This record gives sequence, C-alpha cells and structure tokens, in this order.
Amino acid sequence: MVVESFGAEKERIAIRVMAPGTVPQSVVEPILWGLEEEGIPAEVQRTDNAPATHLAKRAADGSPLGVGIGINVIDLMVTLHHRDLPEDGPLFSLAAEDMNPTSLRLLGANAARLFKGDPFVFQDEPMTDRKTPDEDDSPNHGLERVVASVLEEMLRAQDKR
Amino acid sequence: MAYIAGVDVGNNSTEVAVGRMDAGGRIRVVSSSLVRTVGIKGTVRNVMGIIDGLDTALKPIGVERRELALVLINEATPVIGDVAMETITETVITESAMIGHNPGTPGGRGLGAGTTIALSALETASSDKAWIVTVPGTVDFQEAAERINAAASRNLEIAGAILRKDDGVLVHNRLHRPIPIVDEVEHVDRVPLGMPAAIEVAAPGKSIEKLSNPYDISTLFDLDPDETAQVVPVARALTGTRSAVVIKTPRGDIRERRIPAGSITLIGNRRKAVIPVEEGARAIMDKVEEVSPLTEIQAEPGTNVGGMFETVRQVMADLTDLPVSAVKVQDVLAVDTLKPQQVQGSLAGEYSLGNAVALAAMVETQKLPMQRLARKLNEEILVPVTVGGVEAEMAIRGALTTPGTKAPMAILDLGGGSTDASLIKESGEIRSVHLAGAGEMVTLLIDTELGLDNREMAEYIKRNPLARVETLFHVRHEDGSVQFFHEPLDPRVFGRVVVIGEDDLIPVHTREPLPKIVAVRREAKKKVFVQNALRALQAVAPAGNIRLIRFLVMVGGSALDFEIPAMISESLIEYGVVTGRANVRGVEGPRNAVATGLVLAHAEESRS
Repeated sequence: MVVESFGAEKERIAIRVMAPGTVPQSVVEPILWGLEEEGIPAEVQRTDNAPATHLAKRAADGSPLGVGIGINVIDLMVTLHHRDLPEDGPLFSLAAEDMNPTSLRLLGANAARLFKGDPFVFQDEPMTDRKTPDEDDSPNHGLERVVASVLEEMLRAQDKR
Repeated sequence: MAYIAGVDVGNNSTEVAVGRMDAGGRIRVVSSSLVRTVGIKGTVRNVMGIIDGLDTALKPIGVERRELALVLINEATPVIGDVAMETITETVITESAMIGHNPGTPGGRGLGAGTTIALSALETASSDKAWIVTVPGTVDFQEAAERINAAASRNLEIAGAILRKDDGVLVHNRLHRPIPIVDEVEHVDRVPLGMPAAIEVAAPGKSIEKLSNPYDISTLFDLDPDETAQVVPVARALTGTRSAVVIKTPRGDIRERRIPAGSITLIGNRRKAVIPVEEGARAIMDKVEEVSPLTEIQAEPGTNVGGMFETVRQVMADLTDLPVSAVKVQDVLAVDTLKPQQVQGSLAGEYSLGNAVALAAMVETQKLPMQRLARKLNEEILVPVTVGGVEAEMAIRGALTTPGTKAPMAILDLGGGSTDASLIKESGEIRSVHLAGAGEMVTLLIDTELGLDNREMAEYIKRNPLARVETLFHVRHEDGSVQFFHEPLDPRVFGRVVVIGEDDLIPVHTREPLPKIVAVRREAKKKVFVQNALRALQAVAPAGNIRLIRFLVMVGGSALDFEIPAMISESLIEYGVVTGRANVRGVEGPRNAVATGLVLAHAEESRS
C-alpha cells in the first residue's frame, strides 16, 4: 500500500483544529475537551489569520478523519466543517456572542460525533433520549467570565491592528 | 345512458365509484375517488366529504353532479373500536439502591468496590478502606481529577467515581491510577453516603458482567441467601447496560410490584366468566374463546380499560341516539406488551420494563341513521339518494371483481378500529364478523413499547420503513440498501434513526437501535393482525375450518401496509388459502370495494 501525503499539512489520525496563534487557549480548550470526552483524538494547528469557514474547510480537508474546526480572530467565529461539504456550507458556526465554555465544548463533542456517526447534541433542544445538564448547577460561570474577557482582549488586539 | 354513483363512508376515508349504465342495463365503473371522511361516520357532517368525493370522481369524465341519476350510500354497520392499556407490574426502589444506565461515554473500565463518600470529604477520609467518590455538578473535571489524585497520593484507595456531569472520560484521562467512572447521574446528590457500593464499567460494545449477576452482587456485599433473592430485580434491571452502580443501604429495597388492574367480565350466550386483567393476554383470550359467542363485556370502573369501555359506549350512544345502557361491547382483543417505566426512586432516570396488557374493544349496533344522511345529501345536491346494501355484502361483491377470484371467497377488512371478515359461499350466502383490534392498536403498542409517548410518531413508524442517517450524504435503509443524497442532510437527522416519509426524513427520538424499532413494529403488527385474521376467519369459515376457504382477499386501509399483507399470507400458508391483496376491478388495489359493490348490485337489481 502506498501512503501519500498531499500538501504541507502533515497527516495525523485526528480531527484537526486550525486557529491563528492569537486565539487564546481558553477558547481552544473547551473544544478539545468535548472531543476528548467523546474519545476522538484532536490536533491543533496554529495558522495565519483567515475566515473561520476557510480555516475549518482546510482543517477538514487536511484531517484523515475528514472533520475540521476553524477559529478566526477577525470576526470571531468558530466553525465546524466536513471534507465533503462545500466551503461556503459549513455544518455549524458559533458567533462570538454565542461562545461560552458549554457551547464550545458541545461543538467539540459534535465534531467527534460527526466522525462517529452519532446524533448531534443541540443546546436548544432538550432531547428525550439525552438529558441536557441543568443550567443552574453549571460550574462554568467563572469560566464564562474568563472567556468573555479573553474575547474582549482579542477584539481590542484586532482593533489596534 | 345514466350515471350512478356508489358512496362508501368509512371511519377515515370516503370512497366513490361512478358507473355508466347503457340502455341494456349493463353497467361499467368509469371513475372513482378517495377523500377524507368529514366528521364521525354516520353523521350529517359526512355530506361535505361525500360531495367532495363525488366532484373528484366526476371531474375526469366531464360529468356534472346534477347529471347523476342516483347516488347510493352503503348501509353501514356501525363499528367503533378503541384501545387502552393497563400496566400490571412496576419496579419500585425504596431508598436509592441502584444506578444502572447507559451514559454515552463512561470513564475507565472494570469493577470497583468501596464505601460512598463525597468528594469534599476525601481530605479527611481514613485510609483503612476503599472509597467510591461522588462528584456534584458544581465541580469541574479538572478539579475532580486533581482531588482524586491528591487523595490517592495520600495512600487512600479510590475504587470508583460517580459524576453528575458528562465528564467520565475527561476525569479518567487525568487520573494517575485508572478507576471505573459512571457519569451523567442526574441525582448524584441522592446517593447515600457511607454505604457499601460497587461500580462497574464495561469495555465499549460490551455490557457489565458482575453487577448483573445476583451471585456476584452477593459476593461483593456478603449477602445471605434471603438478601440474594432480593437483589434479583436489581441484577435484572442492570442486565445489558454498559455501566452500573449498586449501593447497599440498610433498608434499601427494590422490588417488582404487581399493580391490580381490575378485571373484565365476559358474558356469553351460555356462560359468564370474570378474569383479572393482570393475568395477561393469553389468559384473557383463552377465556374469550371459552365463553364465546359473546353478548357483552364489562370492565371494572376506575381502571383505564373501564374508562375506555365507557368512552366507546358513549360515542356509539351519541351516534345512534341509543341509551348508553343499550350499547354492548361485543369483542375484546388483549395483547401482552412491555412498557418502559421510570423506576421510582431512581438516580439517573433509569427505567425498567413493566408488563402491561393492551386491550381493544369493539361495539356494534344494528344500523346507523344513514337515512338522515341520505336526506341531507339529497337536499344539497338535488339528486335522488338511496341507502342500500349491507356493507359486508357490497364489499364482497366489489372484492369479487378482483381478477382470479370466485366464491367461496373470504374478505378480510383490515381497518383502523376493527378487523372484519366476511365469507361468500357458492350459494351466495354471506356471513360476516367484526372483531376488536386493528391499526390503532398497533399504533398504541408501538408507542408504548418504544416509550415514545407520541401517537403521531408511532403512526409514522407503523406506516413507513426506517433508515439510519450514516453520513451527511447517505442513509442506510432497514433492508441494508444505501440511498445517496446530493445535498447535505439536515444536521438534526444526522446519526439518527429516521422514518422515510413522503419526501422528508423524520427523526425518531429514542435511544433504541434501528433493529429494535423494526422488531417492535413487526411484532405489534403480528400480535394484532395475524391473531385477528385467524380469529376472524375461524368465525366465518364453514364449520370453523379455515382450510375450507379457497380464496381470501384483503381490503381496507391496513391492506395497503407495506408488510401486514405479507405477514397474514405467511400465517395462512399452512391452510392452503390463496391469500393476497384485493385488486378491485383490476385497477383499484384494496380500495373502493364497497363503492364498486353498490354500483354493481344496483345494476343487477334493475336488470332483474
């Protein structure tokens, strides 16, 4: 069997996450946790800034699992993409105002589920076969503040440029 | 030349056949239609549906309504059926004693035994015994892992953990020493602390081995023979799950309770019998056979079945202007079923399968006030309207237009509320019977056994094959074939079992895998229709011997089902009956039999 590797992006059996270096770990981490809980390996690749959809598509095309996540800092988007989808038709996108540790972790979990062929989990949809965690006992209020302040900083950094 | 319309008002649909009669009195059916019935069958509201049906049938042949010479309405035997369910066993936990569920992603694997302790109490815990840690939802996985690691480094033996959140794998990956972890336990706060507990997680694709075996539980908790006998329901409830926790509480108890479900009284021509519903379907149906022919059936007031009996009587009484006391329930069909029930006192929304009995009842009266309907229709369309022909007779006449049939022939009408059978002998003599239990009962069984609590969804599942959405671009049908889509599918159906609707995919929200849903659907159809087909045919067959029936054609809505006719054919193979779906006039399939029969019978009469 001949194993060929195309392009510069090296092949590791993992779902790929592409994010510019300016994206803080606190945005990337919850996504990785979502993937980890679902038991699917992930790989973070730091890149230049580009639209999230474009990064996600590149990540998906470069991932042997065909699933990629892109994060950008220009208009603050996190996008989940699949190799077989057209670039302008990503599966899910999270805008800045919808980003919190829960939604980011969910996006990671759904990336894993996309590969596994398991049903997606939606925050807005209390499913009969899957209990959504109670919002009130969420330990994430602290984390949420952290993410919010990080996002603010990213926006400021971007304004300066 | 004259046009004559035959109209069959059914519970769900109104069917029309339009015949053209030549000068010699010969008639040919030239058009037909099928529309929804408006209002309850037999009420004047039906007129709206009938007019709609007439117009639909007349339009393609370019005939005006007023050109009709005569409209014939069938003499319907009013049959009303309904279904209800009695649960006869349930599992009750007094004091929390078990958690057995299937979180998508538990952590670690293997078996651990110890004493339950809150995460916050670990710091002051003694190191002389093993601990099972409970982690509330307010603690994130990093902190939980750190604290467990810290405790382990103080030589505390941590044997397992129970988490509120879906963090099992994340915690496990951060531990220095692996332990089994059960997560997504909704009421982790209700886990009694300081109690002996055991936790087991199986490898992916496997189910637990120890906590589903009473003797392993007795080994772990040092139980005496009496106590071991008591944990049998626990072991049974945990069988097949991927992870489980069992906690031994001093007064903890799990037991299966039988719920008194009342009794039904069967009154026959010669004898009478009372049978408690909790004895199950088999016992009930045996008694029905023993006592039949039945003249009346009563159910105990205050039970679900008692309530359903009253509703059926009331609807019929309203329909026919008879006093409620004069309406008799003449047949029941009982079917055993399993009902997933939330375990009382559960910790993680566990459910167990309780036994239940589904019952269908049927009432029949002499005549519906069709004359009233005929008068009303006449006023509306200004065409003579007559009521004529017994429904069963008309259905047979229509069904006999199926190519390849002749008397003696039986028809099986698979409806929504009742299963009806008629037999025509070579002499032309007709016998017919109406039995309780049909399509609606199948829907109830599917709804109950899958725990859907959604009749509409159950109806979809009954009527359509299933598929599973495997990728964003393809589904695999239940028969294994693959269908590709050029546009990506809705993410909300991704990875799910779906019903193949007319032009969309409807997700089924259940954790049951596709083969289980298919099995439930097929089993429900068999329990109702195969059983009823045999009962009905025995009732009309010469000398009660199905072998003496030469031809059997199936008509009615459920005859259009994608698998019911095949199931019935299969069950009749041993009797040597030629069985199949009717094809009325060689074109209609199992539809339009009564409407066609009305038109043909009229032509025959006017010739003679």
